[in-house]
Amino acid sequence: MHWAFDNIHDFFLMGHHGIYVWSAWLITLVGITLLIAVSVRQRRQFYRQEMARITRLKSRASHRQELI
Amino acid sequence: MRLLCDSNVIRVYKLTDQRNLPRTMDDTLLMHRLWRGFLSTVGTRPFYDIFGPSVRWLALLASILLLIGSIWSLAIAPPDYLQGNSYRIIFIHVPTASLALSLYLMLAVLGVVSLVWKFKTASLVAEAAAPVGLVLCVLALLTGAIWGKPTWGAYWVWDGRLTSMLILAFLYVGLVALFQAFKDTPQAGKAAAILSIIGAVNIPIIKYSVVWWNTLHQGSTFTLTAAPKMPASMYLPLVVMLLGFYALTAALVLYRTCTLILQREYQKAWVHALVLQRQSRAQSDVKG
Repeated sequence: MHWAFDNIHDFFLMGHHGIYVWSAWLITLVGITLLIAVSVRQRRQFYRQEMARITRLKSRASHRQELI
Repeated sequence: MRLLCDSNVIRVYKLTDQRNLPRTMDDTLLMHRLWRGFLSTVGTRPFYDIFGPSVRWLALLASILLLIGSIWSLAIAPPDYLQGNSYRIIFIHVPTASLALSLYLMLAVLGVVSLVWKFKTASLVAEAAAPVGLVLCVLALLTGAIWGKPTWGAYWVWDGRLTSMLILAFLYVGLVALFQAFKDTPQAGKAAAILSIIGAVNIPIIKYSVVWWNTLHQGSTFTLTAAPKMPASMYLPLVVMLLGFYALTAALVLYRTCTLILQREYQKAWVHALVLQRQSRAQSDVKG
């Protein structure tokens, strides 16, 4: 097994096919990264909202205790 | 009480209110109601407990495989004698396309499961997987178009494989939209399940389009039964990329399903405990 290209310049140029290969790779990277980012954000958002809700419930409960 | 919203359950209540009903009928309806309630929540917590922890391992496996696969396919695999270096797009085009198909097939099976047995977890997995399938399908179309330019001289041709794949993308769009439209209603997932089952007719059309019609698109590079049509130096990186994409998709679908389970079961004690646990960890992180 050895490298398919002699130097880094050839590696990026890829015999004038570089633009196609690299753009395909870039688009895939962007698409997958966006998908991961959106999924992680949804999870974090859930935890944030739930924490806020629980804190709100707790403060309401303690407020009620004070009134009694 | 989510069950109260269900139209069937309301009917059950109305029936049980009529005192002239025989007692056995009453009991049957109660059992029916309990059974439906059980099915609509069954498996959410075990699913979270079993598959939740595996997400990080799958993600680790996916990143290692994809990194090795990318270096191997971009820098080590030899150029094709006919297509030169443009053929390297195959290493992402084939995994995304094959996964887009596999995921759709999975959605159709899940659709049957959720419609026939009313398993809510099946519907949640489908809801989590639909956007992943959409992204993979669009990526397969885009990378295919980019590959088509240096190989065929055109980004797009209206032939069997490309057109049926475009229809798959539209089906995915429809599924994602339907899941969104019925979110948080008792009917959630029902319309999407029907669409996923009907759309499954497209899968064999895509698969055999290169056989049935005279098309520009090349035939399958490898199948499970026959020897690969590529030398090992080319198909081994493709196998690595394929496995990497499978692991990535599995990790994403499981992670997204777990999020949906948490959102659905937010009033349950175990979710409450999870949130509190996370909150205390976040607070100790801030202090530390």
